[in-house]
Amino acid sequence: MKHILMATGALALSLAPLHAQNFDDPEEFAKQQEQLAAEPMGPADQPWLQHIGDAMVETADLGVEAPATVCFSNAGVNNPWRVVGYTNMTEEVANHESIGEFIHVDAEGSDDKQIADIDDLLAGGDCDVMIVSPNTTAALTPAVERACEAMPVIVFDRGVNTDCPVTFVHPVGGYGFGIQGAEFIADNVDEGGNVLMLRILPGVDVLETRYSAGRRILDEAGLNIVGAEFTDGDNAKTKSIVEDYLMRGEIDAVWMDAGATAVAAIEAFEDSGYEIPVFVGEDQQDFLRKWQDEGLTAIAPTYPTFQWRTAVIAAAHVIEGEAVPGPEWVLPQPAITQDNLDEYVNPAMPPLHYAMCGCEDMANYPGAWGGN
Amino acid sequence: MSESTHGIGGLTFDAKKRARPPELNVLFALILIIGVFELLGAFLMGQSFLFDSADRFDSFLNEARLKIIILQVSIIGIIAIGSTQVIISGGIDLSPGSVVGLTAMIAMSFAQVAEVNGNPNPKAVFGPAWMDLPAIVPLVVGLSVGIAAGLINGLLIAYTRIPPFIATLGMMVTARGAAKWWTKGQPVSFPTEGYASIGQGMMPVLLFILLAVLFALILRFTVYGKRTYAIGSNEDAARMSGINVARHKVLVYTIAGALAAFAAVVLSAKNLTAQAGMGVMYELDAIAMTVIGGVSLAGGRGSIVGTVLGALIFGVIISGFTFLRLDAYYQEMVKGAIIVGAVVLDQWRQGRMAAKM
Amino acid sequence: MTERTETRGLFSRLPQINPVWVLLAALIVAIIFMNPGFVEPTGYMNFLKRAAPLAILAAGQVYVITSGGFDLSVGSLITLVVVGSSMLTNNDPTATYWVIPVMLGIGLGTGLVNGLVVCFLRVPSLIATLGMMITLNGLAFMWSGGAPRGYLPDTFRFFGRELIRDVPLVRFIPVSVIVLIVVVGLFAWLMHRTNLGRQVHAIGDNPVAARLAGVSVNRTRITAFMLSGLSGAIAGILLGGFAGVSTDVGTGYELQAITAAVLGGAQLLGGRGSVPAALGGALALTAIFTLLNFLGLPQPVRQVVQGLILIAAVALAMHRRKQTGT
Repeated sequence: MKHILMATGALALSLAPLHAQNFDDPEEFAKQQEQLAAEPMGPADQPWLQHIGDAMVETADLGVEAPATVCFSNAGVNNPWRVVGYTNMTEEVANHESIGEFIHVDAEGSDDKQIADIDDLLAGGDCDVMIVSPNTTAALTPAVERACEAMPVIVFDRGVNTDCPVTFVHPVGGYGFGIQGAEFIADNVDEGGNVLMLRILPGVDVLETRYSAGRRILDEAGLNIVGAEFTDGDNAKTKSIVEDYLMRGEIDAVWMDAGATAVAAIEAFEDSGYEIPVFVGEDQQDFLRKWQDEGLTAIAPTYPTFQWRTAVIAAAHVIEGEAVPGPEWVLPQPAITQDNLDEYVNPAMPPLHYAMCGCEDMANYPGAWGGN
Repeated sequence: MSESTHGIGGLTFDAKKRARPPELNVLFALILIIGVFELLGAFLMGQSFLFDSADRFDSFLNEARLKIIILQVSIIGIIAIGSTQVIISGGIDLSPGSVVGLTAMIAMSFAQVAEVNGNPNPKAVFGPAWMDLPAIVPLVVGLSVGIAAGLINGLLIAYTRIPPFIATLGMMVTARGAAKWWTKGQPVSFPTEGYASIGQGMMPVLLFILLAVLFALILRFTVYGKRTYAIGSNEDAARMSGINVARHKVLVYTIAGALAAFAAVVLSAKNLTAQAGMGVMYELDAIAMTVIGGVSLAGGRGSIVGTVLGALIFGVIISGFTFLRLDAYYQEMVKGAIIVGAVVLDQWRQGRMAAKM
Repeated sequence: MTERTETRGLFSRLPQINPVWVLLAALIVAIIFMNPGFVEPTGYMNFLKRAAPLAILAAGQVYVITSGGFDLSVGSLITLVVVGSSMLTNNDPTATYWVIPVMLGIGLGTGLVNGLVVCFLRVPSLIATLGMMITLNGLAFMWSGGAPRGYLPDTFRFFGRELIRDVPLVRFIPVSVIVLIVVVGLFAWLMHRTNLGRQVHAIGDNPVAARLAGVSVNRTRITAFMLSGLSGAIAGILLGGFAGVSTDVGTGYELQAITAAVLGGAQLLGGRGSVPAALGGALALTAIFTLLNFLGLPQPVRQVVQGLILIAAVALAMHRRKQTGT
């Protein structure tokens, strides 16, 4: 047994570096860089209706009649981003008379439960259109394929390895997010400056691509990356990590792959008595408020929650037989900058509310989102 | 056992006082729960839970839902078989969830195809020489990982006298770390068809039933089974009667590890991917299944039949909540309440049995 | 002859020093070696501030472990306290004065329910507190709808975040370090200088003997759970103060608290445990994390190390017990 263990260990050690999984794809990087700069089609004041690229899919022959039942298999509502998104979704449903009933099943972040959920919805026989927000790509592909055989399917947020859905709704993507933040740092910090990169978790596709894009740009700009640390999205841990780095040397900029712990990172500078450096956060209210109050040099790239509205709109189009952008509905991915910060800061909204929700004009705003 | 009354030293056997087998109670509970869902379904949803109420089915039962219920629990059910014999032996195993994660990652790394749609596998872990291997390779590698983890658990518990709770807790943390370290947290995907077929369709159910029958027989009729019960009922007595308790415990935990690894193989084959986070909390679900199935945490009592029924109750409840569209956090809380409730019931039953004697 | 007696005396005295202090000293030397800045007040005060919630939690956990149980519910209690405080204060700085007592009450109440379930429904504490863990997580989620609606006002965050400046010798003291000293001091006094402590030890050692000796087993056990709940609430207030609102602050703290108590030599399944040693365990655990951070090891490796340390600590304790024959 000992030998087997040693052999396994040796194998792992010798082979582990081999797996250069492709989260640093120059082609995809270039494509998303282009999409960020592209002029999206559709109404400029309603970005959730906009799309980049002009390919459309006809839905008239899908044979769904209004009012139809829309079923939604949700990966989970286990973080504030998804809570805001799901609220957008339920509020959007009320805007469409063609949607008769809306059935929501929550997979609690488990692939297995989501596979069973989709099969359960198919077994119930009530659904006419299905929206899926997959927990992970590979695991959910077969279940989505099964659903495609029974009804039109719309996928959003993370994708699946099949083109059977009517359309896949998503913003530009992870490279785009990484590019926006890192370019801002490159523009505002002198060459040779120290940048700390804070990451949530390893191995998540969207986060890995954000990191690889950010790193590429920071390296090219000749900045010195003092460290890349995983915070697990934990405020206390984030604060501790930043405090430790401050004891070892100066930091000129902080890049983050997601903004949930941005305020904790800022507080580490404040509590240790340092100037707050150039910061990359996200569109959460607590960060935007801090930015405004302290007059930071900062940017907030977004992964817009308004895509949850778009998924419902796509479903309504399918029911009404209208064409939808597809097979990919690429939404714009705006960043919040100093210029438009004031439009998004809203002290009436909860601290973990995502400002890029496209929900300000909806009927139950701000109450349904927890605002006063 | 003979029906006639016979007495030894004043003790008489009275058939009326013989306790109903606890498995029967679990079966009643299962039927009761299904009944509750049927009633709620009729009142709240206007449709039946398990019986066919839609026109497009031409059979009596809603076969699709039955399939989901059993498919949903079969993989954790395989783990629960291992947990059952651990708990009967008086121990507890908190590591299977993490062992599932670690095993899935490692086994899947040996089950990859070289080419996906004509391109080199984008998630390749090893070089081309390690791809397109026959399915037996990942299976054996996977089982070895589980056996190694179980063996370490068993050795720690049996020979250093570390409480099982702590030893397997340590393994839980360690194995999860190792699972993340294996590919630095990145998922491993694209298995060969041979490997994938282990988990496709109703295969997981079939494997679960086969293993359940096998271990039900083993625990009931073999020396291994009798020793497991003996150690769980009274470890000192078992030692006095000549059982090598330490060696037997090592065996029990090793088998539990192997079953967890097998569950990992089936799971990763079913999902066509392996992730470091796979199997989180499975150990608790597995323990819940055994406890609901009447296995006593004090050791010495319970059976595989009970655990299988417990697993079914578990599946019915999860599927029933989805059927009733109950919010996820209520689901978790009700699950917690059911676990505690099952233990309360068990205590009460034990108390009554003690009173009868 | 005399020489031999002396050496024997020296060796027999050695095991009386709790090895957790040796471990802690070694770890701190290693940290100073890695990062000389640690000897500055910023260095060690930050360290103590970071260790405070875990140390308080471990001090409470020791009561439950010594009485023969586990408390797995404290992690989710922390989450509930942080989320609940942000909901109740609702951005109103004056609300702090009643919200903190309410939170301490929730902690005591959680412990009370745990204790009642364990004593009167006779559910093993592992399962009872596991059920409580799931319930509290669900409650926190239901209360906030998944995203807390308020900020924690600065008055609330005072305990976990603020520093008292211009202190002679050390320059500044974080408020949380003062809370740490007071709470752990109080818990230590209760455990080692009062009747309650002796009763907790007695029921953990042998509940039947304790009952025969006139100890109210149920009341003592419930008190132990309530103290653990109280420590969870205090830890929650400190963590919320340190880092602000988030929805999964408490995750994993229950296992860390048990690990810290065990590192300090508390005996699982009861009968032995010390609050100061648990403090040592919590500091050692935090020191290990800090050190692993400085070494720049990836997070999975840290996790593996934590698992191995837990096993090694208990194995060592078992070994020592066999040698001393107690």
